[in-house]
Amino acid sequence: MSEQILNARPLLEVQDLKVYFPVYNKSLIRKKIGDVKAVDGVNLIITKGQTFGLVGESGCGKSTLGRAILRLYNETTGRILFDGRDITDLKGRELLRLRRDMQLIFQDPYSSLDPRMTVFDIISEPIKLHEKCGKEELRKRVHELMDVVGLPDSMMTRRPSEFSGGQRQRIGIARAIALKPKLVICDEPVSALDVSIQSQILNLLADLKKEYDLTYLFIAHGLAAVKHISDDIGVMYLGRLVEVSPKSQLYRNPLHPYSQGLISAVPEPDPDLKKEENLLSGEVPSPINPPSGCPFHPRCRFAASCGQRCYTERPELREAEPGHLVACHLFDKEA
Amino acid sequence: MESQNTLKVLLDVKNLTTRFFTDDGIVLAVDNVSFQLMEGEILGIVGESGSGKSVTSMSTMRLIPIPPGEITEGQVLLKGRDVLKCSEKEMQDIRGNEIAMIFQEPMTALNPVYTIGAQIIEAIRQHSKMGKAKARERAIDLLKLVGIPAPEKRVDDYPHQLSGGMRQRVIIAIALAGNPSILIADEPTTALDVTIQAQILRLIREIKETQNKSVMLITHDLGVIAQTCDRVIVMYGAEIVEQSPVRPLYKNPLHPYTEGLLSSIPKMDEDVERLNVIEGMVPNPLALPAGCRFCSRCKKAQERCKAEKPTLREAAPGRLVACHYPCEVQTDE
Repeated sequence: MSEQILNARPLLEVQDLKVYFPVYNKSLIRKKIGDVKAVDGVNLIITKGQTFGLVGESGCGKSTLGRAILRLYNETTGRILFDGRDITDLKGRELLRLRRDMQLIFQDPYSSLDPRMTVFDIISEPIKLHEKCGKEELRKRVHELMDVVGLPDSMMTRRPSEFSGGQRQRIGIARAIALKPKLVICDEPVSALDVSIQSQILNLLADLKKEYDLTYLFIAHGLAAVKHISDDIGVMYLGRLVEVSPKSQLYRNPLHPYSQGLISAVPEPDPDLKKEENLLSGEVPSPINPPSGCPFHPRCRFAASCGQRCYTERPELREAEPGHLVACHLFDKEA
Repeated sequence: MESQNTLKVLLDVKNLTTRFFTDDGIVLAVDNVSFQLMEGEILGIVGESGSGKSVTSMSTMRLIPIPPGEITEGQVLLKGRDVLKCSEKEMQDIRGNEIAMIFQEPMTALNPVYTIGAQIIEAIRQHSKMGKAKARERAIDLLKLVGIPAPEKRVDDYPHQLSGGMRQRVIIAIALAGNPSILIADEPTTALDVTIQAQILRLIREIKETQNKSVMLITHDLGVIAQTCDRVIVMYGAEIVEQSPVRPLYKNPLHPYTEGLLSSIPKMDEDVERLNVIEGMVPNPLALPAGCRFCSRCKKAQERCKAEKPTLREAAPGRLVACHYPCEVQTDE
């Protein structure tokens, strides 16, 4: 991590965030029988101007974390600090004002746009909601936004059904940046798109970041895309961050056995790179009843030789080398 | 790879053309596609959505809904016999016994109200006169083969009791029930997580080796192809634009589309400031351009490309490309 980033002001700070969803039994008299621990104690700092990538398999809590930061869930404990202000308990008008500064780009460009609204309606809606803006100026701003995301002006009065997936994603992006937010949470923005369109959208996001001075939280399961766009990357497993590191270190030298398995499972578009030694066995356990101790121990190839600690004691996220955090007992022995 | 000429051709697809007659017009989904599937190989078909890769595989099994679809031309020779001329009854014999399909959606391809055992036994008994008890034993063997732990217990589970990866294994077990020589896997791992995807791809490779199957693997992911297949077909706009053994395709792509696609994927082992992009979008299948279908997005396009459609021709031994101005063939190995 460069000096610059270390000294930069944190834009977002998440402290011990937990999002639990209650599970009820199926009988007539509803009784709570447990919790889905979607996010289970996450600490995270994103500095201004940074792109923080969040990777993990489905069900690891990465999307829930993103939405909890936007305050879209109330079932939370812990603190969220945004731009130096505690936003955990904001309500009503205050919360609405906060949303100006935090926006979301959705995964599915088909269900995230209202099919009955025109492109103009969609992009102008956040502006109308948050600012007093005359008709002429509104048109001008929508026009500018469409230009920035690469949509021809003539399409302003069309509806989403007339667009391809890539173009729809551009509409969603224009809507997200309409208010010049400080933080944009991109929740799998390219997963639903074709390969040749993915790179177009990734480049667009990189351009917008420069132009609008944005900070991204980029959530995805495609590791190569995350690596391309991010500065720092966090790996999530069962609601917890298991490794946080600058991207180059994470890919060159992944420390957590889960990160190693995840990275080696990515099929590389190069037939000469066959790497399979770290193939993970088994599947992600249920977040209702996560394994004791280190939640990764049932799939970990070191757990058996590592001693009892993995089965009983949950490892904390600690610095293993400068700027590189990992939650694994393999690394706190040396400390 | 050298011994390819001596390998037996299992499936020989010639000039296959499939159209869909819709209210909006005629969609040319597969246009004059010819390829061969050899014994014991994994052939990858890669392309973006709408490129015709799935319709190609469905057409070879005659699973195209008629109407609106119709296979208007071509032959699909399975061990010398034209599948397209078989009666529906003969087709029922071919499906499952000769060619079987592994579907993309492990959530919807299984019937939720029957146990997985019942569904495998149904597939076994459809194709042989095996008794119920014996079929159950075979079902347990198949579950063991596809790597399901404790198969004696799992055989009585319902699909919802299994995870996505396990369900995909069950689908593979059902495909293997009739002991077919060809497996068609249509995006078998798209709905799965990467670590599970790696497990399923390894299973497919193992089955190919131990059970001596030929596999047609349809995917949009060039990474999956690189790690799994022996040969690859690249489709664009309902046509084959390039066909090649896997290694040379990645080292030295010949068609500008393949080249563009490969350079546009972010790679794990290198850092670039900006990704290369292929500008524009895939052509509208209702109104395909007259010349080369890629020419509006191609950096090398000339006047000739707009007017004249390139045909698939051999550029190097075993390598075919449909382009007027393909990339140079590098011969150093």
